[in-house]
Order: sequence, then structure tokens, then C-alpha cells
Amino acid sequence: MDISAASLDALCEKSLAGDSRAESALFQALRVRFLPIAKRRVQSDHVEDVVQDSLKIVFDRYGDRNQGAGILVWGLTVLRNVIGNHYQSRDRERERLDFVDEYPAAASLDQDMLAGTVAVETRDLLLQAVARLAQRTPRCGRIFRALLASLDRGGSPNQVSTRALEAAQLEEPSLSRGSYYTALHRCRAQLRQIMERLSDDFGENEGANHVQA
Amino acid sequence: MSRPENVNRTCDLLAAYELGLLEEAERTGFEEHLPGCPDCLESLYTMAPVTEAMRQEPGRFVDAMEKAARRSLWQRLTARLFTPAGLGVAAPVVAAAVLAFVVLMPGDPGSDAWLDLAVLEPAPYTQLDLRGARQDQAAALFQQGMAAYAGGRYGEAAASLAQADQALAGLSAQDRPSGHVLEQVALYRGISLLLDGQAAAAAVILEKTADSPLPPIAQQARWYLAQARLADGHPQAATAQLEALADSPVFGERARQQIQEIEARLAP
Repeated sequence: MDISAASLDALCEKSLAGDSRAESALFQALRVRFLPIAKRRVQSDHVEDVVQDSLKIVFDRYGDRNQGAGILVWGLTVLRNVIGNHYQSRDRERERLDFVDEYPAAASLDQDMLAGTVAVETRDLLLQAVARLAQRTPRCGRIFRALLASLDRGGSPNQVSTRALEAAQLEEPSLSRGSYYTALHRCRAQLRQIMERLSDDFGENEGANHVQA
Repeated sequence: MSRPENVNRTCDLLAAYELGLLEEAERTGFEEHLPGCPDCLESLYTMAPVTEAMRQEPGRFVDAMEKAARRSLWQRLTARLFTPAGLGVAAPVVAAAVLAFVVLMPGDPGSDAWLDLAVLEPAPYTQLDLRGARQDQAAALFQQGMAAYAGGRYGEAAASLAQADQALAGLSAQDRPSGHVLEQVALYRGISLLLDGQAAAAAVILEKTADSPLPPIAQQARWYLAQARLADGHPQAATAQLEALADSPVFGERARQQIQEIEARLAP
């Protein structure tokens, strides 16, 4: 396999099989994608620390995952949790300095939280959101339901994709693979809007889209 | 980069990428696009925990969506029952709905109603070609009916589609559109009746459409026929239709699940 032309998931599979070149390429590629996100969220002198901490957690844990698929999305979940922890630590430090005798130190996020585990609150919020999506936009409900049912049945990405697409095509015969992906993208945007309406906290409303002074 | 046909922007592949649907070359192409596209990267980051949750427990979300669809129907039907217009709803539906309402009141463990098991949601609208000098009236009625359908006014939709059906039937064999167009009109009419709470009337229309030689139409009609039978309080008749759908790639899984739910409720 040409490593330079391999996807991150393919690199992940090769890394897990012991290919050190693939592993180096994987972490370099993840770093390139983590950096701009961290730069928008933390002060410049903390960017490297946050990215390195995230990559270290990914490095320590990616072998424990049952599947190599979705390494970037999972890695971004790790990054997100590390950034959240960074904010919490910073706030605690301020509180400690200001009210050292009045406030006990809060517990830090544990290792499972940092390692890309999805918070129960997020999952519950998502459960509500997909239910609303199915009620408000039946077409999106059908598309997501067929896709999730296909994911639930398992198999390779191609099998999952083909099953979901065939289900969609039987209900909308003129749907091509490309237009199916576009429809899926639009439904995802609706899902995100619903989630944002359901919770102001979703999407890091604390202003994480901007570097805080 | 590698991109499937009909995808105008690389960003449109985002959902397919994060849910792991893209082929290797498409995945690689999308990943190359990411560092130069802050919008995609930010969106991927923001939704990462959501995507992870979906990929970890997809079945859980399917259940939530099924329940939401049922709840939606239940709310519509019970709301209709307590309006003046509800008095005009076909008697069997009223009886089934009242029975379901009574036995499904919170705290009553002895639920024996069937209406709550019916999954009633509108089928997607498929554009039909009804144009032609001889079909103008039918086309106008059809468009009127489908506009009402899209707006959730199912009683109005059913009435317009019935008129469209009549207009089409009045055409000479030469001017009449192909069989599958007529079947599609009937299918939407049946679904509209069902969603309007007229399950028995819907069943009559859908039963004919379920014999269509075109599998997508036949399967869809059979699925809604099963739901009509359930809503009308005939679980065995619904099961017979669902069994015929067991191998359908679209409805098979839902049909098998619904059969299990019916059997569980029928069990002594």
C-alpha cells in the first residue's frame, strides 16, 4: 500500500498490524488536523500542549478500540475532551488563586472521559434529537433510520453503505449514490440544528470558537 | 479528488465520511480536503461525539426513531378524536382509538390495544409524470392532493387523489397513463386515508395496490396495509402482510420486529 495515498483508517489498520511507517504517517496526519482546531480554542502558548496531550491519549488507546474505522472522528472526540479539561483546569486555577480557602478543588476529568468516551448527556441529547428529526422531517428520519439499522447490522463500510443506499433507493428510486450523500449531509445539518436548539451547551457555547484572552 | 456523481461540493460528503460510508479513494480525497476547509473540520469536530455515539450504539437510535414515529401518530389520532371533526372519523377507528386510549392510560399494565403498534408516517413524495393534454384535470387534482399531503392535510389529500383517480379512470385506454402511475396515485390515496384516521377505507385501496407487479410499490402498499390492519384492530391480518415483507430489504427488518411485537402482545 502507498502510505501517502492511504486514508487515516487504512493507516490505522496498518499501524495496528505493526507498520511503524504507517503509524508515523497516521499521527502526523492527525496532528495536521488537530492543530487548526486547537488554535481556534486555546491560547497560542497552550496549543502544542493540548494537541500533544490528545495525540498521546490516542496513541495509548487506539489499540484498545475494537475497530480501526473512524479514527479521525474518535480522535476529535479525544481532542474535544482534552480541550474541555483544559478549560476546567484553567477555571479551577483561577478559583484557587482567588478563593484558595473557600473552594475545594474539583475533580478532574478521568481518563475514560479524555479517551474519547461519549458523555451520557450527549447520548441522551442525541436520542431526543433523532426522535425529533424523525417526527419533523420524515425523509431524514427514514434516511437516518435505514443507515443506523445498516450500521447496527455491521459489516464493511461498503456493505453498510450499499445496504443503506439500497433501502433509500427502494423508497426513492431516482436517488443516486451522490445525491444520497448530499441528502444525508442536509439531514445531518438539520440534526445539528435540533441539537443546538435542545441544548445551548452543545457545540461548546462557552465561546470555544474563539481563543479566549 | 475522487467524488461520486451528483455531489456538487466536497463538503457534501461530510456526513458520509464521518459515518464511514465512503470507499477508500473517496475517504482519502475527503481527508485531503479537510486541512484546507475550516468549515468541514470545525463541523466534524463539533459533531464528533454525536457521530461516535451513533457508531457505538446505532440500534439504540433506531429504536428511538421508531418510537417517535409511533408517538407522532398517536398524538395526531388522539388529538383528532377530541375535535368536532373527529366525530366524523370512521367508527372502527374511533372504537380502536378509544380502546387504545383507555387501556394505554399511564399506569395501566394491561395494554391490549393495537393502534399504538402501528407505525404511521407519510411515505416520501415521488414525482409522477401526469402531463399531457388529456390528463390536465387529473394532473391538477394530483398536484393539489400531493400539496395537501406534503402539508400534512391528509383528509384533503385523500379527497383530491380520489378525484384524480376518477379523472384518470374516465380517460380512454389510449390516453390513460401507465399502470404504475395509477398505482402510485392509489398508493398515496391509501396512505392519506390511513394518516387521516380512515384505516378501514385505506385498507381497501392498499389491498389492491399491494398486488402491483412493481416491487417498490407493492412492498410499500403492503407495509401500509399492515399498518392499516393494525390501526383497525386486526393484528392477525397485519401479521399476514408483514410476513410477506420479511425478505424486503426496505421493510424486512421493521416487519420482523413488528411481528415480534404483535406476537408478544398476543401471547397469553
